[in-house]
Amino acid sequence: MTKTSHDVCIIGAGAAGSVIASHLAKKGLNVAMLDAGPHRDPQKDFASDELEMEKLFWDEPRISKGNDPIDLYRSTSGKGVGGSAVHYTAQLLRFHPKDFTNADWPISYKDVNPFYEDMTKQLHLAGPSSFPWKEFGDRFPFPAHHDLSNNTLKFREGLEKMGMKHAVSPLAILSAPYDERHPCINRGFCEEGCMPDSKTTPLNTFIPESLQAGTTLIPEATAVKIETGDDRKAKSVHYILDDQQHEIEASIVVVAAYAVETPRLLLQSKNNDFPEGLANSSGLVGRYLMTNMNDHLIAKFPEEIRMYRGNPVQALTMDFYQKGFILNSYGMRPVRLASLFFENDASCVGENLRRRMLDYNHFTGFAMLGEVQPQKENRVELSGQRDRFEQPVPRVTFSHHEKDLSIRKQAKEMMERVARAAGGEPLYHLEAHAHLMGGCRMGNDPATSVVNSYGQTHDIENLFVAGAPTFVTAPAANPTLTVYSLAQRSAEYIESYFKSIRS
Amino acid sequence: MKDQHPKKTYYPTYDVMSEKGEWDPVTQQVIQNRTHPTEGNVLTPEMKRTLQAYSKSLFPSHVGEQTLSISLILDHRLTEKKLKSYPKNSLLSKEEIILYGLEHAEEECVLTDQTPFFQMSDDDRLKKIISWKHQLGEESVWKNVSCDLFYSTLTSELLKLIYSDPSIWSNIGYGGPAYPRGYYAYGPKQFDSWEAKPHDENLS
Ligand SMILES: Cc1cc2nc3c(=O)[nH]c(=O)nc-3n(C[C@H](O)[C@H](O)[C@H](O)COP(=O)(O)OP(=O)(O)OC[C@H]3O[C@@H](n4cnc5c(N)ncnc54)[C@H](O)[C@@H]3O)c2cc1C
Ligand code: SF4
Repeated sequence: MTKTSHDVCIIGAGAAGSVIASHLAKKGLNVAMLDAGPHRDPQKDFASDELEMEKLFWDEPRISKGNDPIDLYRSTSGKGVGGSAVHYTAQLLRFHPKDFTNADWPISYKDVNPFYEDMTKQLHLAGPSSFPWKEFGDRFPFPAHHDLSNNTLKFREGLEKMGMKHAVSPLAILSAPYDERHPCINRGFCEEGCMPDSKTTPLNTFIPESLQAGTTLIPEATAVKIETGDDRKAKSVHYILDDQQHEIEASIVVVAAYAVETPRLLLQSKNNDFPEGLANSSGLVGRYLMTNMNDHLIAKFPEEIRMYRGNPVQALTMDFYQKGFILNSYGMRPVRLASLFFENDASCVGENLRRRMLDYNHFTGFAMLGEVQPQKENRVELSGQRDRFEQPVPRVTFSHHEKDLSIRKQAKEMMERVARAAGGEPLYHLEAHAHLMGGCRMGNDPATSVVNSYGQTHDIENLFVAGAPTFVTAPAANPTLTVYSLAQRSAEYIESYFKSIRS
Repeated sequence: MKDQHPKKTYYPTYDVMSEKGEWDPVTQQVIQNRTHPTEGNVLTPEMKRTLQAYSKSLFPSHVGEQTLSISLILDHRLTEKKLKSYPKNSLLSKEEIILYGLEHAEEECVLTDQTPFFQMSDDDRLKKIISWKHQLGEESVWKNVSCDLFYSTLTSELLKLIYSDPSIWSNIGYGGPAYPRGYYAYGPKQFDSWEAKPHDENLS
């Protein structure tokens, strides 16, 4: 066992953790950052292959229950330095101003806007010179991608014929060379990790920046407990590396381990002073877990489409945002498509599956991203089972609200209309989920929230939560531009908090 | 809708492997390991026989088109601890479900038909699999895992392997690994020279 001491210990080197590490290290703080998975090199550790790249997904035990259990593996979470952002599709949108005012968010669009603008630049977003829905993104530093796949052209044709607006998606994918990095080569394997390194992720931005500024990054290190001291403040983090337990003492602890492992760690760190788990006086740690609906509509066309070409998500319409969903063109590779066919229809095996898959090159794939209602009953808890580190396995319970299901229905009908308008025959509606949010919601009132708008826990002033777990709602815009932006906002606050405790 | 699908590939002349020299070395190695897998050490010979028979019954026409050794690859994946995660609605890992299930499957067939699963007729095997899918396995046998969870977990793992087979990729006209070349030809009816020829040309 080793024991080291740092100003800040960050648990989770994903989208949020890496932003905070980079900022604080640049400001001279002594930062340690742990991640449960390895630090991968795209050239050596990635491959152009779906099955092989399953290694990017979170693979530790998680029990998924409820009326509508969520896939807690492939489409929601990653493991390893860079987090789930290593295999995200990188469509980055802002939330709408009303998303903040309509709900219990303790901040407004105005508070987040400067960070949105900053992150748009730092992530080298590529997007249209004139985006029809400016609140969701504007003034992209790189031009929109122009090699649009047949899948995307059909999507746009359908929308065009229906008189709906559409645009090339704002993407954190280079459309022109930047520094040593090459623009996208339309390889299509974004969800398997980008080998050409054209997709902007923490691995080619905040991680190298934070390492250069002196962060101690410890990969393959799983945090198992946060210890508090006699002063009821966070004192240290215990983690397992190479089957040995180690400890990092820190003045500030930041948990950025995504929406299942963050509440899980707070709950399993319970002690005599905090018998219900850390930062849990409200009883809300783990509660209000959310996801997005991410259903696909597969339509068949007389001509060859070949949906494997180009990055999966290339164009969108946000015309239905106020109804609770957006639509995207969304190409899939065979393993993903065959798996979704079977998950949605247990009779789709053998000859049935083969018959469908022989038409693969004639299929288009469109997808909806749908808002999900925050519900207290949807939660992360600790089960009675133990994992290989002798820690309780998390149990996630999720059931849809009837409003979610009405959004799903409307989106399905709309996708079918778009496909028909483009000349296709809509055949299969495949239900799925994407993204996780909530579990440590932010708010001003300690009785109804876990953290304040900077991610500082109400109960323990030197314990912070960063990233998707702090979200109050799960709107239909993809969440990660907001994750990066709120993490930068937290980082600046943590910097001033650190100065205040040191002076 | 009446099913008028040709049971054959649109791309009889396309072979994705003919392009393998153009793939990056890591991906070449990954595919080489898949088409020439090494022995794992988790599955027993009986379990491998059950698996091969299961796969043949459930994916009949993929066999013959398919070139991979499903049982060796699955054994390798189990040995490499790739199936640790839990499927939805389960208190067991995929690994546990498959291992318990293969044992129970064999036990049930010996109990009810006095024949190991792999020696049953194609029809009887398929009937068994369908009964497991519908939770109709012998209750006294399926103690450690339910038969429908075994069916859904094993089948979804198998279909991933089947659709990771370069031979099946050629069959459906999928371009396969695409680094470092990517795709450049965009526009109506534009495809890159290393992809399957559009199938009207392919069939001529
Ligand atoms: C397939 C896919 C596609 C997506 N596409 C998009 C998209 O197009 N647009 C978009 O906006 N978003 C997308 N997302 C979502 C996006 O990836 C997440 O919103 C974002 O990464 C969340 O950031 P985070 O920092 O909160 O968590 P993560 O990025 O997941 O980081 C959490 C990190 O914590 C580590 N960790 C967990 N537990 C521990 C522990 N106990 N000890 C140490 N480390 C631990 C994990 O290994 C992980 O690296 C996608 C996600 C997936 C999976
Ligand atoms: S499509 Fe572009 S961004 Fe996606 S993996 Fe390929 S090169 Fe990377």
